[in-house]
Amino acid sequence: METLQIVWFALLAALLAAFMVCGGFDFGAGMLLCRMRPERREKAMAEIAPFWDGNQVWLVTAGGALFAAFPKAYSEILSNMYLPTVLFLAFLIFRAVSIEFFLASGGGTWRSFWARVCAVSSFASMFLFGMALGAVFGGEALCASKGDFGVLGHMVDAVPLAAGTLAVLFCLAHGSVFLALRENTFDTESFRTVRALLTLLSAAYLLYAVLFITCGRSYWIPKHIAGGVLLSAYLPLTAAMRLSRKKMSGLVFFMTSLFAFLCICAHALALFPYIAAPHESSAGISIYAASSSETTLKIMLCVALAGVPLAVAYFAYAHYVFSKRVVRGKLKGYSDIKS
Amino acid sequence: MEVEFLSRIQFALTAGFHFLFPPISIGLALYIVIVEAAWLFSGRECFRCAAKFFLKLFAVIFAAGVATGIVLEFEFGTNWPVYSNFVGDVFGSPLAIEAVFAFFMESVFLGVSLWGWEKTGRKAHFFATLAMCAGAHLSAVWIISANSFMQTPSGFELEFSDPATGAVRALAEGSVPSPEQISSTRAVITDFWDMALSASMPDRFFHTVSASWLCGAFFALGVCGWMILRGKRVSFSRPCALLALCYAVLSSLLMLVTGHSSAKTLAATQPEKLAAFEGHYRTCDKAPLYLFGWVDEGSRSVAGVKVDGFLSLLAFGSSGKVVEGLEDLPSGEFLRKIYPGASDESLKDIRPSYWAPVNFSFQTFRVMVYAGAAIFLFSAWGICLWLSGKIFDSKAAVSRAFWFCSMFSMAMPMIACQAGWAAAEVGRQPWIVWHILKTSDAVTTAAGAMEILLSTLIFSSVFAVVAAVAIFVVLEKIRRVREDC
Repeated sequence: METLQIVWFALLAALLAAFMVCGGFDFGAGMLLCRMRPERREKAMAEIAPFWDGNQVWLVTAGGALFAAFPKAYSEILSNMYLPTVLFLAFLIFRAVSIEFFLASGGGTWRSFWARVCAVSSFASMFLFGMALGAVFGGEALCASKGDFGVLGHMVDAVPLAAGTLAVLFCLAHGSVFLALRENTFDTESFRTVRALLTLLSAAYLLYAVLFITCGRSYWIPKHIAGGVLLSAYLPLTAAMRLSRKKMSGLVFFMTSLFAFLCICAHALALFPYIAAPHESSAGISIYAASSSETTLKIMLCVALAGVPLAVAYFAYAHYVFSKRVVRGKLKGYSDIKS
Repeated sequence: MEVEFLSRIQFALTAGFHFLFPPISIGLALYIVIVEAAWLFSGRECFRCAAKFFLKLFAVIFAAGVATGIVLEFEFGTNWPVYSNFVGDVFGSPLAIEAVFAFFMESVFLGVSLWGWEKTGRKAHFFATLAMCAGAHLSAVWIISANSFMQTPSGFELEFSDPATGAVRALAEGSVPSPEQISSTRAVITDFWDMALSASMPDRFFHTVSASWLCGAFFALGVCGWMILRGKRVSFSRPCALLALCYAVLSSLLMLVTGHSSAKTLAATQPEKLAAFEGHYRTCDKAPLYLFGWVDEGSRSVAGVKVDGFLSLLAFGSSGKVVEGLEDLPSGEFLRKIYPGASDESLKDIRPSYWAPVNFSFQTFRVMVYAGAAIFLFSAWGICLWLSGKIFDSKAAVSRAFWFCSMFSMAMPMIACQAGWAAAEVGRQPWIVWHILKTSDAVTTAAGAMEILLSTLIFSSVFAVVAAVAIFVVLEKIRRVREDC
C-alpha cells in the first residue's frame, strides 16, 4: 500500500520535470520573442509552433494525475490558492492563443502585438507557476483564510518569489538553447544570448541554493541529501556553459534539461512524504492522508505505464520529423507561415 | 448560497464557452481525415489544398478549445474542492486517462500534421492526421465517461471514515450521505469498467459525437458555401462541399438514432430529468409530448400544443405506458433514505426541492430538438438539390439560397450542443452526482464570494477577447483562401 503512494509521488515529480523540460523551452522562447528582430521572431515562432500544444499536455497530465492519485491534495491546494490559480490560468489562456493568433496573419503590427502578448503571458504564467510550486514547497499554499484575498499576500514570501524567479530564468536559458539548437547555424549571436542567460541562471541558482540550505526544511529524508542533490545540479549548469562555448547545442539542451530534473528531484526529496508542506497554521498534506484507494492507484499505475511511454514515443517522432533537413529546396515552412 | 450561486454561474460560463470549440474540432478532425483520404485515393491535388486549408482553421479552433479547457480541469479544485475530494478516487482517473491517452496523441500529431507537410511523406502525413482525429475522439470518450458518472454513477462504493473513532466502513449500497457525513466520506472505485461505462455513457457518447460530427460537417459546408457563393476560384470548394454534405446527412441520420436511444436511457435511469424536460407533473398513461409551451411552475401546468401519448411512445415504446410525473419523483423509497420515517404527506412538500428548474429544462430541451430538426431538414434540402442537379447552378435562385443559408447554418448544431448541454446539466440539479451528492454541498469552503466574483469577471473578459479574436482570425483565414497551397 505504502509503496504505491511513494511511486505516485515520484511519478508526479517526474511529470512536473517533464513539463519543465518540454514546456520550459516554449515558455522561454515565448518570453524571448519581445527582444527579437522580426525575421528572427518569425523563425522562433515557427520552431515552437508544432510543439507548444503537446508540451502543455504534461501540465494537464500532472494536474489529472494529482486529481486521481491524491484528490485531497488537489482539492485543498487549488481551493486555497484560489486567486493565484485563476491568474495563472488567465495568463495561460493568452499564451496559448497568442501563438496561434500570431501565426494567423502576416501584418507587422499584428505580429509584434501578439509576440508581446505571448512574451508577457509566458513570463507571468511561468512566474506564477514557479511561485505556486514554491508555496506548496514552503507551506504558504495552505495558510489562506477564507475570502480575504490573503493567499496572494502569503505567497509574497522568500521561497515562492525565489522559486518563481528561478523558474523564469531557467525557461529563458532553456528556451534560448532550444532556439540555438534548432537554428543550427552556429550563429554567434544566439550563442551569446545563451551564455548570458546561462550566467544569469547560475547566479540565481546559487542564491537559491543558499536559501534552500539555510531556510528550507526537510521531513523524512535528511536535509543534506536533498541539499546535495540540489548542489549537484550545478554540474550540468557548468557543463552547459562550457559546451555552449563549443556551440554543441544538443548537449547544452540535454544539460539544461538535466538541471531542471535535478532541481525538481531535490525539492521532491525534501518535501517527501508531504505533498504540501506543513506551516504555522496548517498541518500540511502527506501522501498517505491524501491518496486515493489502492485500486485506483493500481489502475492509474497501469495507465501511466502504458500511456507515458506512448506519449514519449509521440514526442520522439515529432522531434524527429521537425529536425529533418527540408527535403525539397529551401525551408518552405517559414515562407508558408508568413502568408 | 452566494458562493454556490457564483460558482455555478462561473462553471456554466466557462464550461459553456469551452464547449463551443471541441464539438467543432472533433467533427472537423474527422472531416479532414475524410478529405485527406480522398486525396490519397484519388490523387487530386485539390484535396491536399483543402486538407491544408481546413487544418489551419482547425488549429485556431483547437487552440481556443485547449486554452479554455485547461481552466475546467483546475476549476474542479478551485471551486468544487468538496466534490473533488468526495469523488476524486473515481472521477480523477478518467480525467488523467484523457490527458495521457487522448491529449498527447491529439496535440502532438496536430503539430506534425499542421506543420509537417514538407517533412513527411503522403502516408505518414495521413497517419498523423488520423492519429490526431483518434485522439480527439478518445478525449470525448473519457470526458463523457467522467460526466456520465455524475449522471448515472456506478462501479463504486461509499467509504465513511468516522471522524470520532477513525474507523473506516463502507456505507450501504444506494445510501445518501448526510451533509455532516460528506467531509469524511468518499466514493471508492470497485469496478473500473463498470464506472467508466456507466448506464448512460454509451448513449451519451454516441449522441455527443454525432452532434460533434454535425458541427464539423456544417462548419465545412458553410465555409465551402461562402466560397461557392462568392465565386472564389478555388478548385476544392465544390468537391469538398459535396463531401461535407454527405457527412452532414449521415451524421444527422445517426443523430436521430442516438437522440432517441439517449431519451430511452434517460427515461430508465433519470426519470426526474425526463419529467423536467417535458414539464410532466402528474403520473399518467398516454403521457403527452408538448410541441411547444410554457411551464407554469407555480400551478404545475404547461400551456402549449401537445400530442397525447407521444411521450409514453417515445420513452417506453408504447403510447399506453405509464410515465411517472414529478409529483411522484423522486420515489418515496429514495426520499426516505434522506428523511427516514417521513409520511407520504410530508414527502409531497419535500419533493419540489429535488426538482430541477422545470421551465428552463423544458425550453432548452426544445431548443435542442428543434435545432436538430432544422439540421435534418437542411441536409435533406441539400440532398434534393444535389439529386436534381441544381446544387452548383449559380443561376438558380434556389441554389444561391441554399449556399447563403449554409453560411449561417453552422450556428444550428452549435446552438443544439449548447442547449442540449444546458438541459443535461441543469436537468441533473439539485444533484452534482445523481442521487448521492448535492451541488450545494459540494462547493468550496475556502474561497470567498468576492474572490469568485472577481475570477468570474476575469474569465468572462478573457473569454470575450479570445472569442472575438478567434472569430476574426478564422474569418480572415477563410477570406484569404488561396489556390497555390
